[in-house]
Amino acid sequence: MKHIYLFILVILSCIGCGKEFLDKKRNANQVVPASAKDFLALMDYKSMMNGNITSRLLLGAGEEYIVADEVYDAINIVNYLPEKRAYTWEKGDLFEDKEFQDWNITYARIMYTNLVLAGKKSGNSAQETEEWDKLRGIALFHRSWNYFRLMQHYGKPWKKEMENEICPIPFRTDYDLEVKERYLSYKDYYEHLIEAVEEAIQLLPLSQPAKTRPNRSAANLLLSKIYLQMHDYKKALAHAQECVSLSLDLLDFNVIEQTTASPFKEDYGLSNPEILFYHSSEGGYFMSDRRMNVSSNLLNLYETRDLRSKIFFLEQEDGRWVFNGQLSGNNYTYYDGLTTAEAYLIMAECLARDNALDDAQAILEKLLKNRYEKGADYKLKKGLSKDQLVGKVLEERRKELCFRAIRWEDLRRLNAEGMYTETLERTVKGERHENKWDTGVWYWGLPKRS
Amino acid sequence: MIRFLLFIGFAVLVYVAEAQVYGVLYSDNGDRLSGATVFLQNNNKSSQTDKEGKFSFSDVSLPDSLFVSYVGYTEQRLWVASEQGDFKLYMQKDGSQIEGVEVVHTGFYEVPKERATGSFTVVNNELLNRSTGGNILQRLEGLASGVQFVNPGGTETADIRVRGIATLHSDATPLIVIDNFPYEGDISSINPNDVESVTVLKDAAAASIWGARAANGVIVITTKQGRYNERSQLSLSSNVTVSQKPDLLYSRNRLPSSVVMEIEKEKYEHGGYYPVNNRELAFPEYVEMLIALENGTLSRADFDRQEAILQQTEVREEAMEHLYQSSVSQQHALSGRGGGERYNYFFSANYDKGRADIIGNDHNRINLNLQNTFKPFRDMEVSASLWYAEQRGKNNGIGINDIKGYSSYVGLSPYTRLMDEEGNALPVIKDLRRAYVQGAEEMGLLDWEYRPLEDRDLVDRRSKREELRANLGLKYSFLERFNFLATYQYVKGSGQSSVVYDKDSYYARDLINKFTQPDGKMIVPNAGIYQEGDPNASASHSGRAQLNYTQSFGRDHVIAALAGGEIRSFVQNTFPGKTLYNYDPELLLGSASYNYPEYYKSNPGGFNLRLPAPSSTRRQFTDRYLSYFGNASYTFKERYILSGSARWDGSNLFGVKTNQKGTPLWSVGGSWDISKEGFYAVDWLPYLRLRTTYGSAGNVNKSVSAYPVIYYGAIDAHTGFANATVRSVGNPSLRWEQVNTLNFGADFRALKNRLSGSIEYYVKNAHDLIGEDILPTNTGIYKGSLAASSNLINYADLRTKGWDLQLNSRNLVGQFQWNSTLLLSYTTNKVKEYKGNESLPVSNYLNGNIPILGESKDVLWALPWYGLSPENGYPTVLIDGIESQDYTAYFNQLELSGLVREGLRVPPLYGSLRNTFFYKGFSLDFLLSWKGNYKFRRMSNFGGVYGMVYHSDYVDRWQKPGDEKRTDIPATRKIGDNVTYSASIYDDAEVLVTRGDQVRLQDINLSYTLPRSATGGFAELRVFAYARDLGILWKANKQGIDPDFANAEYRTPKSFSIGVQANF
Repeated sequence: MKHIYLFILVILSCIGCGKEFLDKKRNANQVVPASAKDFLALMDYKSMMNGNITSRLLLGAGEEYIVADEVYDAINIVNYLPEKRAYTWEKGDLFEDKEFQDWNITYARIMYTNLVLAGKKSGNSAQETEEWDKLRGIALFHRSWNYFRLMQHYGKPWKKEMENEICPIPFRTDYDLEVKERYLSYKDYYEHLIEAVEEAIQLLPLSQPAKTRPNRSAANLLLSKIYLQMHDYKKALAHAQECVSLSLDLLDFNVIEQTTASPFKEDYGLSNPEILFYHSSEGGYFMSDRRMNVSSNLLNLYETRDLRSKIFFLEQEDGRWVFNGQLSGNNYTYYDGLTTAEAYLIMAECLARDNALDDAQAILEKLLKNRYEKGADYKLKKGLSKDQLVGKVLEERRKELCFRAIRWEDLRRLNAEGMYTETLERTVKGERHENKWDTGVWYWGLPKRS
Repeated sequence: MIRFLLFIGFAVLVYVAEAQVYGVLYSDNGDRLSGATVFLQNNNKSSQTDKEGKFSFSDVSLPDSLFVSYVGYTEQRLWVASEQGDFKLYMQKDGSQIEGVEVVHTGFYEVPKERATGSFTVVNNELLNRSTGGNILQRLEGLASGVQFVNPGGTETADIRVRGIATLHSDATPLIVIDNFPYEGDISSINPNDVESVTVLKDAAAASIWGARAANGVIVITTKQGRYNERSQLSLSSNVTVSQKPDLLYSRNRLPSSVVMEIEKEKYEHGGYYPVNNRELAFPEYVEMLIALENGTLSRADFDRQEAILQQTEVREEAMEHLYQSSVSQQHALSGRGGGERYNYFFSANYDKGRADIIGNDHNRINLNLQNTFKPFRDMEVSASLWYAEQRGKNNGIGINDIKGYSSYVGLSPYTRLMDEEGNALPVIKDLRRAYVQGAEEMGLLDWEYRPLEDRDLVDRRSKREELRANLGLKYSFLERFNFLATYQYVKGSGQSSVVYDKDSYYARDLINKFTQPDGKMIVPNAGIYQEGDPNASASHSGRAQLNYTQSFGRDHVIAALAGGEIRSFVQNTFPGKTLYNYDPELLLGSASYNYPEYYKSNPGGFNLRLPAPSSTRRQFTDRYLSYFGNASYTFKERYILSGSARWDGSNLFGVKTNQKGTPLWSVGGSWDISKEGFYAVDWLPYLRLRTTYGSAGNVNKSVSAYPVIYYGAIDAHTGFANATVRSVGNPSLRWEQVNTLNFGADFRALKNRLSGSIEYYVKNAHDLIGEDILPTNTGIYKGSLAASSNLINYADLRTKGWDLQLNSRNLVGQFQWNSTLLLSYTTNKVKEYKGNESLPVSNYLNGNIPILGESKDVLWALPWYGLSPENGYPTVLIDGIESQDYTAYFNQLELSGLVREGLRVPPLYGSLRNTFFYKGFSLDFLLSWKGNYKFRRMSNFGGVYGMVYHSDYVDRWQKPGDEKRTDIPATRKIGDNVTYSASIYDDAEVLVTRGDQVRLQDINLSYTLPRSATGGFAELRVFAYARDLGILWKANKQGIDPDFANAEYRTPKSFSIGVQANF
């Protein structure tokens, strides 16, 4: 009987211990991020950072396709209305009362990058320092990539005179919800981007095990694009050259099979040496295979022996032409990441603008050699003037970079510059809709609750 | 069994002849009971108690069993071993709610209701057995004061609210306790036949006993136990319940086939809705006919003939005939209990089986349990019990949603036919165009048609759940005033499910065809498919140690106290389920070696597809709890009671600071039995007790975190990298919710105990409630994102007030008895402080749950209605007094003050009335329930029929000028005419908000009890008939809608049961 008192005491005393008992994680998969491995896992979440829906409006407003009138009419689902309004470059509020998924996803990504950039570096060994540096480079690249994308949607096209105007795009560098967003001037916004990408160039390695992670050449190309938007052709050239020198050779389109399924593999850039940073976006309602029809003014640009016209476009049974050359390898997402070909074209344009006409022509022809049938005459005419050469480069940009959300970027900067301007038009239900280069809609208002 | 034999043997030895047995019989309130039947079983002698309640037997052989029965009272039986003079027997009333006899089980201790200061409701065994049905929670509906079912017909804990709400965003489900431990398992594995009683704990005293989750109320389920010194008894009960077939034609979300066909014709002729170049995606059958007619492939005569057939077909009638059935279920239960001086036991075996209301769905459940308690020493009691439950289900039914076609073009075609005139299963248009499907075999593919009635027999979907519960307990009394209790519980549960698709099933043929390559190679073999759902397994260990102290000082003072600690660990695991292709269901052979990452060309083409990948889910959740508790009460002169309790509750919450892992709770209470006072002289109110409690409880929330939290996902198949998603950015300033509850109660008995009851009034103040802040989307936090819970902040204070009334009356006593029980509750809440975003667009208030300062959380807002325009039949709005149809401008200038405050969404007033009639062994019992003072929003013709959203209001819409005088249903917008807000101007308007007040006849129970004496001592028998869900008796709305099923496809069908119960 005495033993029972001991038993009671033992049990009662056991009750006292147990604070560590409550330290066990509830969900085995959950973690408070602290190590570089944790933050890298966030940046490697490719469905968020490298895919998803972010460029529907850019793809739509770029005028590279049209749809039949009944298709235009049949959209009455609220989610697709911004796309419908962007199709005809409607003035006024695109989003009315609604949020916009593309906006939400882009800012969610920015939140991820801010969380990663706030991570405190742990450890001092050389290997750990390298890890954290690489991580910082990746995060800075992603943040700049997404802010650059937002600028193409909601910021005015760059003109030096307006650099001190306040840009309406909310700017966040802190994931903490207590911190309010800032609104910077255009000048500060671009400066911020440039600084970030320059730092990324220093930190990123030459190559990464997968194309979903940016590398040094991708960062150079991004910086080049930023300078191009600011009409700073010298700096754009420097970084495009750096990009090309760090990249692999161009892909010869002669080796690509022309099929009805996607000519490019769906392997996130693994087998395509031209892909520097893999990124894609869903295309939106109009851009489905069953609905779109590639604009004839684009199709007519290609010469007969240009392989791109056969690889990129497919004729449907009902006479429509659809875009089939997505580098993403499937026909419901559109590749809008970085490729070496774009670096080549930037180099050619900048050299031509700088009057280095022979150099510009040589670069351009190097690209075309890989795009025309073997043995075909891909060389340009001799003796082109500066304007003619720049015009040729711009035409090649349209042919090479079609359906990658780049046309809208180009139109904005060219129309803001005022030299190689272009007005867009589409006809819907007999009515002609025009987007004039000087008075048209080249950026949109913000969605609700932004 | 052995014990019984031993008794018999003993009895033979102690055989005494010519003995006398006599005594007096009292009822529970002290009155002498006359006219009761007293029966000695072996001697087969029966007698009745006289006017003074006395009975006597002489010349009887002992030992024997003495049975005492009186209508309206629970039969008593005693073992009379030897001559014993002057029995004093007390009879307990059946279904008695009278204080003093009821015992409240709190899960930590038992206390007579008379001594409890807190707010409890007890539902005893008889009330629980009024209804049939396999779910124990369902049996509480309408019977427990303060317990409200917010989802009609609900069977889950989440469908119940106890005394309104005390939180906005955190878990609001009450805590379920079974046999003194919290229960986290599947409530459907508990068999109601094993339940002795249910106690509901409603106030702060309850929370401070049970901890943080008890702020929402606690439902304590006590299972049947053996009793000491009780003759062995065996009980057997069986019942069968049959429900009517569901009435699918009740649905208002439909239109007659002829109307839908007209709409489809309109869309076809307009163009753009059914793209001409679409070869593969399914079109509705009528549209195919129109296309064929235009092409010339269908003659006019054939078209007309087929059109007429379709117009006469109604898919819901087809479904009711071929897919649905009346559900039938049966319950059988066998139990036995008994006990000697140092030992008692209880065992039961139950079998429930039933088929559901869809043909092909059925389920069964087996419960086995054994409980033993024995006293190895005088002061020590050891108990051990084992509970096992196994549930199996077959889920092969095809419901109305399974015969829908491709959602963009087809949906639920109202003219779908399932069976032709000769009884053959007809194909139904599903995902692909009929022409494509019919040409499949020519293309070298398998038959691609979907024939539902045939397919039902080709798919075998099964599931199984098991639960094993083992309890061990030790109780040691020492020093005459201490009790030491230690208990341990182990619960192990598991669940599995699988589907076997026969090679001829649609799923298999569809998958095989999808992956057949252009050269004929079949990536998915032409054989069956086996798919296992992710199996889960859980195990929990709980332990409690408690020291009780009771001591009387002198005559007037009694002190009782207890203290202890509790520890619990609950681990849930989910494992990846397997998929086998090339499966032979007979030989159980299959293969899983396939190239899952590869993209294959697919039919109908366009996309490259990957084989459905096998599951890679592997999850583990660990919940750990640690608590310390203490309780004390002081009773003075048996009429003043003071009590208090305190508890600290800790758990392994993630992502929070260490000092936030636990929360304290405490309460104090007192009661005063005024009727025992010397100065008390109210004759007609012989019993009056006042009581009050006040307490403070914290509530934790598992989905919030102070720090950022990320979740790792599966390794990426393409890049090989680990990846993680952000689940919350964290909120470092989060505090736990706090609820302070004040309760006043008065229990009384009046009019010679013919009337009894209680009335309670309570106030709950909840502070720092956690809820969603509306954040700007540039934070990266948006609705639907994985990190959406980052927007949780402490944003509101809520005050809930209410009262509960319970009245029991014995209206008629004597040969014919009539008793009534009235339950009436009223509860309202009001937002006292709100720190969230205030300048929100009006649409958030119409459809959301944004708290508004000074308003109830359940308030319903609506847009004002100004009628339809006589010109075009579209709704008119007023902007600054001027009529307009510019809805965008209207919404942009609309503020909260411009909305109509309709009322509450959840009924603040609710209750039930139960009437029971007894006459000579018969009893008739029926339950009425009502809900009052609330409104609901009904759906109507919205979204446009061109989007395939059909509602029966469409036929009453505005069609020509003048119609606006007789209808509020707007004209349908023309095809392609897309005006923002044109739908919500009507959907959210006040014309669609309707009063929900209703009175329902919930059930009727008719039973007949045959006392033991009538069966020659063999058994006490009870036969009963029960009917449930008998429908609404009165409703306030004029549209003929049942508010509990306002927008549902069908109402819960009526059900009827018969059953028998025998006690041996």
